[in-house]
Amino acid sequence: MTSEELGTGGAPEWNPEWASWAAAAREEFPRAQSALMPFLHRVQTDEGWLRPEALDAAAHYLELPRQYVESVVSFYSLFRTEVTGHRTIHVCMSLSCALAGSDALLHNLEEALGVRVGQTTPDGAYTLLEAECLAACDLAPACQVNLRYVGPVPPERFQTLLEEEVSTREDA
Amino acid sequence: MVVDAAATVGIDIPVYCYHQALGPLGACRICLVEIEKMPKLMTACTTAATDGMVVHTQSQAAEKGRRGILEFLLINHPLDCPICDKGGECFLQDYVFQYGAGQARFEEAKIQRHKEYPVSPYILVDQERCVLCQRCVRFMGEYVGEEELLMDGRGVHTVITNVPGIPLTSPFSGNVIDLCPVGALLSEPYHYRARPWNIEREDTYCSQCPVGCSSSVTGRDGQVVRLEGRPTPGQWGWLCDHGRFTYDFGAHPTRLTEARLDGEPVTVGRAAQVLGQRLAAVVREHGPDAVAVLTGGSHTVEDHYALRRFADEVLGGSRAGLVKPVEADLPLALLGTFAELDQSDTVLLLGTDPYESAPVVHLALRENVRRRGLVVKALGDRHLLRDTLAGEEWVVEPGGMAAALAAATAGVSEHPDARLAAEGLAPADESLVRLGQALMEPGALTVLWDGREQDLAPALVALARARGEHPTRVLPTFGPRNWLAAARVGIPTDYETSRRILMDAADGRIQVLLLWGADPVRDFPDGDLAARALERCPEVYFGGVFPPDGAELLAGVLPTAAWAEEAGTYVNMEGRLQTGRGAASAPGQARPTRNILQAVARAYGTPLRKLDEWDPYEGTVDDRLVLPPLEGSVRPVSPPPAAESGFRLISGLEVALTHDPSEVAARTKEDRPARMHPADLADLGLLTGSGPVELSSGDRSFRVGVRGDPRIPRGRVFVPRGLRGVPINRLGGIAVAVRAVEEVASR
Amino acid sequence: MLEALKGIASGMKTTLSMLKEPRDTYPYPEKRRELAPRYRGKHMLAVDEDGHELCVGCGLCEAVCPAHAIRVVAAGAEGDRTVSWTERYAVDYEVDLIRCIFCGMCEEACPTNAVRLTPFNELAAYDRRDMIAKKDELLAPPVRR
Repeated sequence: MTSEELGTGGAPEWNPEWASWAAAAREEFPRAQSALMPFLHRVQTDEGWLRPEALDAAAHYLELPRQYVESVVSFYSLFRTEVTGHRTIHVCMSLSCALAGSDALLHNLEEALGVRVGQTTPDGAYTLLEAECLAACDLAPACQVNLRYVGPVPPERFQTLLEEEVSTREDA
Repeated sequence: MVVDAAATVGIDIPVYCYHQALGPLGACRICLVEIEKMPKLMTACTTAATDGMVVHTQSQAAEKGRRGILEFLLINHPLDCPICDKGGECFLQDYVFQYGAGQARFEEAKIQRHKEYPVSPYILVDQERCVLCQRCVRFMGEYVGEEELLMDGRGVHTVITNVPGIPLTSPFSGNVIDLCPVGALLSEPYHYRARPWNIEREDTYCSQCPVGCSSSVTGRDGQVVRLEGRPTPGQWGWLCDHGRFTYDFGAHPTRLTEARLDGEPVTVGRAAQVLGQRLAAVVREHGPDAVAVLTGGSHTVEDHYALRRFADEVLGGSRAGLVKPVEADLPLALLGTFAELDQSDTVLLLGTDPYESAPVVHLALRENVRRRGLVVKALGDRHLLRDTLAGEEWVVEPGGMAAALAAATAGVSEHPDARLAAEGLAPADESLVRLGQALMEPGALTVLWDGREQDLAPALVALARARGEHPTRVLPTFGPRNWLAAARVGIPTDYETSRRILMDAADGRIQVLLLWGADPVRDFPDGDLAARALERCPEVYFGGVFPPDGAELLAGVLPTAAWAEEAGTYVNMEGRLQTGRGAASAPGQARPTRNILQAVARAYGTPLRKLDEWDPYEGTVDDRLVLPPLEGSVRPVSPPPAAESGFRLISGLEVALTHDPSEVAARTKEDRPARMHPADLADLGLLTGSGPVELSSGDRSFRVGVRGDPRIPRGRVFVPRGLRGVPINRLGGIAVAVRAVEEVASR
Repeated sequence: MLEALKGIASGMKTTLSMLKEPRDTYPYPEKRRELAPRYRGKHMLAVDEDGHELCVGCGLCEAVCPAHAIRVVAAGAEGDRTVSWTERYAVDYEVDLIRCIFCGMCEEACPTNAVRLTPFNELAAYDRRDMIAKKDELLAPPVRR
């Protein structure tokens, strides 16, 4: 859709708040390219992932080519473009954590959740992801739950990751 | 850059990412060279050559570096060469063969990605074969300014793709196929069609608009299967998709392949014989004035020469004229060149949007804007500038361009011709004075003009004289493709000559009218006159490639060979002669015009002698037509038509719609050729932003699909000229009524 | 008369003496010569065990053929219908067996080992046109009876 067809309000499936968030990001970073990331982060914090509509909206409000937005989103691995659960669990797979048993930890989590790595449980509660080095070797095997560090988590104590009280997205 | 410096002395340094038009990037690293006093290997495409620099391109270190880079590039490259369209003309193949290691050391599984992924109806991406040089992404994003391709992902997972659901629509997207140094971006119509060794690839020039882009035509088994851009000194070799993908028009089902007499198929020889005998009888009885020849300006210079001599020597001095879709005549003395455009201090778009009428000129303008900050001026009856070509524009009332230009010139110049041209016009207001000042700036001025409004010719002459010694050049963006060939051989190209011929035909003073590639009912600005001429003239014969409008009125049809079916010379909008070679064979009975005319001349009893000894280049300077001096008096420009209520019709030329019929290019052909402001469409009740409308003026009306375009001012309807089934030239006045109509069921 | 008979006898003696010599000719077609195992005769196009053609229509054989005896026209597989083992295949594959010099360079150039020269050498036809082997014919390798 061209911007003329969209007008200022946007398409129906767009969050009405997005316009103001984009304006706020633009306030902080006058260059549209720079304002893109803060806007996308805010949308992702809100919804957990970036719907295609959100990318349309980013291109529209920040007056950037849609292709540019797509390119940026695909570049950063922490931008999610698939449905994400309420708790996103990252398990570090790099050297120290691997030596400390992160393979087994991931395996146990897969068994417990019934999904493979990269997938989300059907009830939308958990998303299980691999991470490259989290720079927390002292916590090996290190994990993140909604980007908050948890560790060390020995493989057999995987349950703590699922139950531990961490700030969920709703609280943030 | 070192690469360019090396090329000037004949040393080839391999490159993928570097392209002179796009500038240095240094992404692919294949151009590594050893430069003395620099500690490491340097990329030759990002290092500026300096005095005293010593560069080794063949040293051990440089070769090792290249070999290493090639090994990296091949890690995830599939062993696809036998099924790859680029196989045999691929820079990866060539460089690996020349510089690469013989054996791969990478034993892991290769990453699998999309193959044959369509990013547009014409372009496939094979992401596995890509070397990520970014030429395509940068060409689309930076050079064309339509960022339609993107790099998705990061690191080894990066791929070239489009946004899902948003295919490439730019008319320049086809160039990425030529730009791709490997087999990643492929032409869908050429996919699996041929290989470099079983084709005929010949130098030619695009046949679809008067820009005449240098290109290579590929023929296989007698058919044209591909057209590619061909860089020449001073030109990058870009093509627009309208030209690139119209290559198959010679094989279109509507193509004329057999001769006809009174609707009955006959052999070409028989038809030529009958025509020759008829012409002989008519000339004997009524004299040569009872026969007239109209050319459509699509045949070659050699063909036009034969036509001219046929009229002069065989018929004994019959009149000849040119049918073109615009009413104005370009003062040939002002004809400019692309080189002059690149050096102009001011460029004026006069009624024409080159993106539509001469797309590759749009790219040239954009490059000038980017490279040296050229500010384009535009004067038109609609918005002529666009997002990718910024500038300053003046939008005037329909039919008011000539008056505005004359008034603007007279507003700042005391030159008597400028005064004379503006006689009786309202004096220039503040905005027009600003235009006048911009046009009177010292330095060179180039005007791009699409030939509408007859009075623009005197206004341009007045402007040129008022500017005095500062050069004023005009590049005509109107077709037909080869109309200047008529000028080359001395066939009058002015509107008045062809109008008189058609008037005489309509009045019954012409017994035989010979149309050579001309389609007056469709193209001639006065379509009613042309239709009357075809109806009243006792015998109309047609020679050409596609049947004209009103084909049922023709006494005879002779099929001629088309572009790429024979070698021939064309003249582009600069007046430059360009000889293209053939790579296909003419289908059916189609034959070169020269052969047909010779057969007619023999039947007439006066064979043409030494037809093939003529050299089109004889007497040209730098392969360009010799221009006449600027002479003649300037006449006052008539005032613009009074503003009326209701919609007003404006027009222009659009290659995307008026190119030859093509099955390949039909994939993206717009079926809503007319355009209106979206708000006007909404007022008509066309809330979806497009739909069919009925345009009427007086008792004339026709239906046409219309779409929204905010660049059309409110209260105006833009309809391109020269479209089949859209008889805008028969509508009379410029005041039209517009009515939304129901969608026709069959569409 | 006697002289004449003597002449005949002398001639017949030579003829009859040859009867016990070893023969150089073969009673073709009842008995056929044993050919070398790598004898180059008529072409065939191979298929893999799934029945997919090995030929991908790359045209390298066409390029390398010194006699210009081969013509290849390729196309892309439509939908799921795969003719060859990959997405490209040869729609037309023709070998002009009159032009062919059986040098075997096509076999050597073939990147997929699809073109092979069989030892089949019984090439004869009443019409020249029958000597142009089409793709169907090449896919069914000739058998020497």
